Amino acid sequence: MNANGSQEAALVRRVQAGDERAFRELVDRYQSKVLSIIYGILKNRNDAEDIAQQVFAKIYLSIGSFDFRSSLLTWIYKITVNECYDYLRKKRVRKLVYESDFTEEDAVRMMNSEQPLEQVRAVDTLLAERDLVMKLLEKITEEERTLLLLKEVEGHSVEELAQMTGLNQNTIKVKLFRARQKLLRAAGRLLRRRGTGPAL
Amino acid sequence: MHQPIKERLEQYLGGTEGAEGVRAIESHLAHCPECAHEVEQMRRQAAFLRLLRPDAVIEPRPGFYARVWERIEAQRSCSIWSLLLDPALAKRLAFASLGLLVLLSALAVSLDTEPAIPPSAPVMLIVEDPIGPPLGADPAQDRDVVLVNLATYEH
Repeated sequence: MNANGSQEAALVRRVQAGDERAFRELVDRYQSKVLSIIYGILKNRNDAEDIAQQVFAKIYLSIGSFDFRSSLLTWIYKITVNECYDYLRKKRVRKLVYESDFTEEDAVRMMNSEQPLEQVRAVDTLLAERDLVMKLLEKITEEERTLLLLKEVEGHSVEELAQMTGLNQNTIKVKLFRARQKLLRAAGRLLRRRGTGPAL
Repeated sequence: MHQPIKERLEQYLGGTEGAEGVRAIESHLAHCPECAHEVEQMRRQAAFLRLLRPDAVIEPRPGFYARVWERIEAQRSCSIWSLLLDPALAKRLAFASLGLLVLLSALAVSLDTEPAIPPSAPVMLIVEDPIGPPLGADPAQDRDVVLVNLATYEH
């Protein structure tokens, strides 16, 4: 374990022992990271802050179950993505998941923009694609989802993922490959049901 | 997908594969339509997943920690009540209370019906001891008995 890892472990142990100042330190350290992850998924600042509060409440209430097998960030990331899914399920958002997140202000800005219509349409397509990504990610396991997102969204390398999860690099590669294949199959099934050609 | 491509796929998709590795992969893909198709699908998939990348680092509004703490307090008290309101636990508590009540009632009844134990009476035991010799047989012992009776006499 490197210096950062041991500092992180010490911080977690203090939180587990009920040290409120340590928890505050943990929140200060990870709050913008958690908010950014949520914002990346939902693209809605108000909801992102609400979900982030819930993420930290969950971290505090379940820190006792953190067993140090993965890094704290990996654990927090998993909780954060799960909270986003909970939020989406509660909102019962269907076709265009984030349609409701477009405020009137956004609509006016889009209408008045100098962008060609194709680009305005592209925003709509982008939202539909993001909806599809979230739906597809529900089809793989929590571990596969976390690994894929940490790789593609957070930009971590296989070596970093191995350090973060405590797994070896070959295992990471195999898991990522299986996750990618599962996603492709799920995309194929979904798009066949919709009667459109494969998008991925 | 062929093994050499599979082994280097993550580096290739992430753009971290060295120039020589990239050349080897692309040369294989040029002659293997099956691998080429799958790699292309995975490349598009990776681009798709990157749609979830945040376009900026978001900082929380002031008072974020206080709001987190309020939420924790609310969920803590809520969790105690939800524990008590949990049907399974409520059932167990009801059975345990009923059992305790039955035990206490049985104990109370047994205490009421049992006769009170009289305090021990050593004098009576000495006087009424059937094994001892009759009065007048031994003057010294008679004197002792009288002295004990006088010493322990109670109104």
